[in-house]
Amino acid sequence: MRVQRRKERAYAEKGGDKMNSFLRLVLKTPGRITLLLLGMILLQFSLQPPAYGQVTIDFWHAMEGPKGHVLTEMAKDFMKEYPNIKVNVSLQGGYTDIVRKVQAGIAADALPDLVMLGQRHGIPQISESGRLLVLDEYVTAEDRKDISPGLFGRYTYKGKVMAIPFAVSTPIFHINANRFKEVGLNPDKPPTTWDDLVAYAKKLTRDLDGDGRIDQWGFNIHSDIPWHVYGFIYQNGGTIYGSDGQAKLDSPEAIQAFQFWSDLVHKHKVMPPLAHEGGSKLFTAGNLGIFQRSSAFIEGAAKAIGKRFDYRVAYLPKSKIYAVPDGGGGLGVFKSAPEKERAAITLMKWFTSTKGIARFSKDTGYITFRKSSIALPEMKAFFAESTRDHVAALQMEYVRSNPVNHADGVVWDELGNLIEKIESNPKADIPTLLKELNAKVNKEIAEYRGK
Amino acid sequence: MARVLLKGVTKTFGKTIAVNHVDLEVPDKRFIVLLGPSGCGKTTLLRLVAGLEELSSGEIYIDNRQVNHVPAKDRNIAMVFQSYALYPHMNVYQNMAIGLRLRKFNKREIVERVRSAAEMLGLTGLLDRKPAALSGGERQRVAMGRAIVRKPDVFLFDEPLSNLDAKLRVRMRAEIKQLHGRLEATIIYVTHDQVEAMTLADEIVVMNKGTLMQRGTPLEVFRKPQNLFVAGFLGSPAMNLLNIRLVKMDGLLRIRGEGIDLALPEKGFPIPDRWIGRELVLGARPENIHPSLEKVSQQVDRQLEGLVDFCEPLGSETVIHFRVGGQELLAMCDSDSAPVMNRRIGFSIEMEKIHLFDPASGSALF
Amino acid sequence: MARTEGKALELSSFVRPRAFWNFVAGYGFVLPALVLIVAFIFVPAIYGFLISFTRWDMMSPTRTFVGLSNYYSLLQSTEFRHSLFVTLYYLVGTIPFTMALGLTLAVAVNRKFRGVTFFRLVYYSPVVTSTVAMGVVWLWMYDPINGILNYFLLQLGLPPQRWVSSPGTAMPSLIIMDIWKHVGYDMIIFLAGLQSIPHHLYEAMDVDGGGRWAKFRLVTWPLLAPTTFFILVISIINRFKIFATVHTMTRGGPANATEVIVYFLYKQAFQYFKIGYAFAIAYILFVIIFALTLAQWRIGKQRIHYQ
Repeated sequence: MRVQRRKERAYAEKGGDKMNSFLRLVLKTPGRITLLLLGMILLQFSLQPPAYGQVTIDFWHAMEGPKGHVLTEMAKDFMKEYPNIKVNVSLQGGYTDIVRKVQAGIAADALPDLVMLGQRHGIPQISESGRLLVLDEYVTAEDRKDISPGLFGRYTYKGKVMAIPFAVSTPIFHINANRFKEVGLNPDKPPTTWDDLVAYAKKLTRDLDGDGRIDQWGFNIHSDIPWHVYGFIYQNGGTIYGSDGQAKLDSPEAIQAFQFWSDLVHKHKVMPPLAHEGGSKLFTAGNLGIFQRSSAFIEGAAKAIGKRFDYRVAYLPKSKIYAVPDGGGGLGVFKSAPEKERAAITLMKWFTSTKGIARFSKDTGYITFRKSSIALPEMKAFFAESTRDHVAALQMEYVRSNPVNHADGVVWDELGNLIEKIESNPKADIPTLLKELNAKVNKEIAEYRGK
Repeated sequence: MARVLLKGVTKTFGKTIAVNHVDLEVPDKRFIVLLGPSGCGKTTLLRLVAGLEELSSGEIYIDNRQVNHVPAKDRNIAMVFQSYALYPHMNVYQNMAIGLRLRKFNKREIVERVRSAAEMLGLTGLLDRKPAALSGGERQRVAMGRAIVRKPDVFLFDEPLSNLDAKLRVRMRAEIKQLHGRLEATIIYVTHDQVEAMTLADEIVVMNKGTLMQRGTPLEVFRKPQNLFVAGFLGSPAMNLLNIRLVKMDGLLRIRGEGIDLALPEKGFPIPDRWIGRELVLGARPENIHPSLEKVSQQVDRQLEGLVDFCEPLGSETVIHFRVGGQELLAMCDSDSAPVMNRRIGFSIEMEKIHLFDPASGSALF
Repeated sequence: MARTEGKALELSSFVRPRAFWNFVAGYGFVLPALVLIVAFIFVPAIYGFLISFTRWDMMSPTRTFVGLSNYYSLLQSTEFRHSLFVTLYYLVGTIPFTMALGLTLAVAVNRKFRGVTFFRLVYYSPVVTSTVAMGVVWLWMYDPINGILNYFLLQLGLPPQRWVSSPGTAMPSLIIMDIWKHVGYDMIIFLAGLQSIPHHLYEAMDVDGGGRWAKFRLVTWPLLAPTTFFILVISIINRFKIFATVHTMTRGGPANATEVIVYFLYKQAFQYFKIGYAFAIAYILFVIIFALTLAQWRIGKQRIHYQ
């Protein structure tokens, strides 16, 4: 025993177990004070008590590039008007990215206060999370008169308004007036019915050098196909979901709409099949007479076309009625502390006010969808110059939409597939395909009924 | 079986001359060993005969047919590689049969040949094993079997025993020798081991730096080296080479050096006069030098006095390292009569067996 | 002194000895990597497995337990079977050609000639290039109207192709691009395998009477078997997981022609918000790949000779 003790002492004296001596030092008083000080400093950094009366809110948006700058600038002006609200504006990517970030935010409990949500990007699911504030009480009767009712559809879930329309676009006809004139058509009289469209497009489809390949096409549609399908269905008097919540994609109106689309490709041969990606280039290069794409394309197209030809826009035609689907995103508010919610709602109302919408649409190319905004003097002046934007704004009276639904993702996907099938196969059995599709969508809806 | 003829065969790799204008004739059914140190060109020469290297210049004839541009497989040669080069994924039978299969022999013939070769080499029980499951010696024999079944004109062996341990090497040497007898084949065999060369060869061809140094039967090459290189290469332990001067005294030739004063026997050493007075190299094999049994005074013309450094007992014999003047020499003696270290004793030399060389050219004087 | 000694006695029986610090050092070195692997691979994998038995959209606070129904619906789902079929089509279309081409190239660059390193570099660089970047560029090349490939076809008097715009040619188009991308990888691995074949076996072949084809058939190919096996197993595993190419170039279309399993999974998870279903897909995929690899292993053990 004694021998062992002596050995241990010798070992310790030699500094053999340095760790022990270090621990001993740390646990002594000077060490304790240092630790305490360190802890207090660290604590300071983690706690951020707000200045008195100040509220800070986070705003997530999905506008990349210059459009995003517009939001930042607008937020700055907002903060001037409301000095006690600080707004952190941050770009989160595109609409899809925002859904992801929101998903992560829900899990991590790190959500913003104001968020821009794409009309077909997850609104049902995000609503189900219970984190979104229901906004019905903030939509006034005036608002409902000022804004086309069709616009609220995409932001209404289970009868409740979950977001306010903000960045709105619709499909529209982009027209090459030069080509019109060349084939004897009057560009001031664009096609207003489906039959018109066929007649015009036929004239505009030409094989200029006689080599058997078509050099100029009459009609094409951009690659966000399902959106345009909605348009055709609505124009033919059909609808995606009925009032009973079931899918109505196999209704006669829908079948006719799809048949029309197929005819454009196979029967009248005015639209090149499965060439939608290249449609924009085809148009800006001057080889397409009528191009159906979002109104948001106007700005970029004008730049790309320059003075090469006379570029105009026109309403989409009707079959039975005029109808266009809407796209873009709206503003939603996440539940949080009362003062933050209030601040977020204030910001939201500011953004979507008459002046707010006027400024936003003017600077970004989105549609001025408030009637009161259109009537503002600065917008009148703007429209006098930018007649195309004016046409887009006026088309808003024909906006139609269905409330959002869990099966929207499936519908979007499957419509795209269906069109691809139809365009690649002239003999596709459209009624049967639509029946199958309809059954599938209803199955999806039924699965979520359980919730 | 055939004879092999090399005329002016040269091979260069870039600036290096590996084989330098070699002329060689290998008669039919002879066992020729190419002997030399690493890098002397013997392997390259073998590969040139095989067709695995291309001639830079010269001609090669096998069985009186010029084969300069004939590919290896058409030269009717077979080769046993140093690493055996057995196909690892084939068993012994397949390894031996492949040369015949590729030449479209019929099945019966192949089976027969492989069977008899296997019997000759003692491989019959191993035919379905893969090389990985064989010992070194067995693999060696499979490599030989592969060559035997081909019944080629010439067998080429490239240091086949260098990967085996000493005991196995001795056994395989004997087997190869026996094989030569049974097959009556022309064999060209490359090695750096002089013992192998001595025991196996009908004739040894000594090579150094791409050139033939000497050619002859083992005894010829051993007893009558024609140049310094051959003299120093053959024999173990190696021949003593001493710097001396040849002088004439009283009408007799004497060999003089530091601590050396020997008389050249009159008979059997025809030396032209011009060598007299010249600095030459004396060659004397250790086995021809023994510690003197008689007293120093007698036979003074064939004695050296030297200081013993140390002795290496080899078992039945002992090698004595000693010094004369500034030069170191080796002598041999019976292990029973080994001298003690650090003593000056006399050594007698069998003067009939010495050699003299011209240091400038390296050639022997006689 | 005595107090210190006492304390030293208590701690030192564990603290002081070398063994303790070796223990700490060992785990200390491994710990960072271990933590990462556990946190980002094992935990999500187990979590995902549990989720596969639920129905959930990743956002709602409630998760409904549904037992095996996700798996049942999957096995009955025509879309799932279709995506399996598409994936297998892809495997069969890419792997044999990539391997054959890779082997050919390896044999070609397995010599010493001026600029051989340059060629090896050129063939390998697609492997390390970003899939997305490559996908975008190839999309341009594949454009039916403006693309350079159709331009060349027309110059040669051949009919222009729809490439990725048509359901019939979309998968072959992706396959072509994929072969081009991965040939270099197979080439490099085959090259290593080729260089491990002892040179004197070929010389023995020279003497034994083998020409180029015999050398390949009887020496190169059999001794390359372990390498070939490795590439086959790795290729199958990797190709099953293809996603970036599809997402960049065709989004699973047209008409689901390029909807490979992982893309199907992606849609279920992130477009339809059916996480449980998606995880079930993932685990079925895992089982398939595992079973395939096991099968290959068994076969390989019997037939491949390792030196």
